[in-house]
Amino acid sequence: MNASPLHLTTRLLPACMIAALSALSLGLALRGAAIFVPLFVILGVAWGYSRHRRQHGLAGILADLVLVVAMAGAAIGLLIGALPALMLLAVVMALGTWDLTHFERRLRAIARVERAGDLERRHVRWLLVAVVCGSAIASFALAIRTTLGFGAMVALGLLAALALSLTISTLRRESSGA
Amino acid sequence: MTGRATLLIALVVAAFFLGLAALNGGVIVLTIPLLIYLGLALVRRPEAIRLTGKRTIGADRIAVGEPITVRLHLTNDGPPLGELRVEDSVAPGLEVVAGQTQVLASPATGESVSLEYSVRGGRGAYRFQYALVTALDDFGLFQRQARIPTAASVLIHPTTQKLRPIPIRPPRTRGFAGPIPARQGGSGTDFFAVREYQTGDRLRAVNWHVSARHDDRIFSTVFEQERIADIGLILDARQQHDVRTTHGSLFEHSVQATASLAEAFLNAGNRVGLLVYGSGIEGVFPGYGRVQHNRLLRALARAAIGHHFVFEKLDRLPTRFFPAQSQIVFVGPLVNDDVPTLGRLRTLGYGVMVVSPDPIAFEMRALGAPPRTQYAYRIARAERRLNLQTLSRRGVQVVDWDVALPLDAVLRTALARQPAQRRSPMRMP
Repeated sequence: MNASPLHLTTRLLPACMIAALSALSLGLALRGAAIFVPLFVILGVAWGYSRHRRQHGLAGILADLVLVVAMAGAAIGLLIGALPALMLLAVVMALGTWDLTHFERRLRAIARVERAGDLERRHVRWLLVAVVCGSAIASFALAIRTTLGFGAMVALGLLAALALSLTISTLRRESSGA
Repeated sequence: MTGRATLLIALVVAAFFLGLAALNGGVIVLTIPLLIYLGLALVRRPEAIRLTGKRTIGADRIAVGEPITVRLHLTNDGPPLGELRVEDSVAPGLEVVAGQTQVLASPATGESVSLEYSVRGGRGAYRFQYALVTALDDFGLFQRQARIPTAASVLIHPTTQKLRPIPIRPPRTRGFAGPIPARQGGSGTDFFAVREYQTGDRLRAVNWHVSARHDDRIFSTVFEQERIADIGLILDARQQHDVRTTHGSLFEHSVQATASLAEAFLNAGNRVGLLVYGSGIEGVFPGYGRVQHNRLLRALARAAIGHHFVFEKLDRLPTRFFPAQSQIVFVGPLVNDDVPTLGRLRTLGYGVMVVSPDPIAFEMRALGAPPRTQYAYRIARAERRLNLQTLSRRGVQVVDWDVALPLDAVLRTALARQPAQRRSPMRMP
């Protein structure tokens, strides 16, 4: 296992996890759905413990679970009228946690990493770009109030499905050709 | 596309349709950071991998247990790669003793990634085929894999024991001076015969003791010529006769013995050939010297036990492979069916020696001699002794080798008890 120090990741990971689960718990608790909070705490503790024990595979699975739970929790929160900014923060931070946990797992699984510091800085830089852009666009989208008719919604749904299937088929073709 | 990308896409799709179904735009908005993340990964996904590889190995052949250094050098001839994971495919059977076989790097165009590690292993021929490289985007969502051919091979030859000169007396020797008594009178060191003085005999060759007993005749002492010989080694590689225990395989001892004998015979200047008799017949034609030694070691490194119905018995042995009346040395655990064939070789005029690693002692050592096997052991032992005696009576030199003992000591003891046969007619100069 590679033991090169990943200073940035080590510092950012707990902060992201705490921010994600706190935002989610706070948003839901404010709308009287505090029943979910113990689940988030258990998930967070389990993830932290697995990292502490250097079980990066388990930490990766738990990070997957955290992302799914954060998305589901945020969706429920928005449906019951929770503060959208908190829900968005929870999703963005959960995404950051998920990404960094898997990045750490990839690096720890390899015995030798060349220029690990450069690799880490570049990764965090791109993650920051994704998170900042995503948050900005999502915040802007939350601020917009527009009404869509049923037809427009169906068209939007079809467009999304079409774009997704095209992307997936292109990627599959590429990977089979490689 | 990795499983993580699939999870992300599934989450986006689920949130999108949930938002549509619930008529809640906020839920759809939650997918935006995920889509941006996915889009960035998609844009920065790895292009085609264009790497060239070169592998260098410290030596092309080594002895068992010796470590050897393997260096792998990959150069990126394509676009920069975000994350490149290189895993070298170590040949099965080799053990990595130092260094790493994996590396993660992010090489720019023209940059190189290197790996260096040491391996060691048992006897055999090992081939390195390729290096497996996986290129990932910065987020590890999309990947491309390729196998970069970096073929190289290494031969781990068997360990040999230093053997003292082995007393053999093949019926026919070759024309050059060597260490083997040639059954011919001439210049040499050992006494051969006494004959009547002939013109040209040196004065120091006159045998005054014998001449003193005769009034009118003088006798000369004749010494035995010493020449080199043709020696054919036969290694028994038939699977059904191998014994495998927790202590290893008896075949490995046979291989070591063959290698040691080959070295000893070649060092004495003889012409040595090899036949590996197992799943097929693999041979090294007789030859001299260091080059032949290397050839033999290479063949022995590759030798493996195998099975073929045609070669179940020894009677398919191609005797013409070895020159007529040369010395044949059979190395292998002896079974009942082998005895007539080896006896026939002797009848055909070959000098035959059997070096037989003892399979019974080998197996009993692993079993720990439990009482219930006592009778089976005694029967097997009696059968083996009978086979060895039968061969000995037919003029075959027999070496019953308990592999726990050094071969050199066993050879010395066994061959001292049974002097080589003198069945060919003596020839005077």
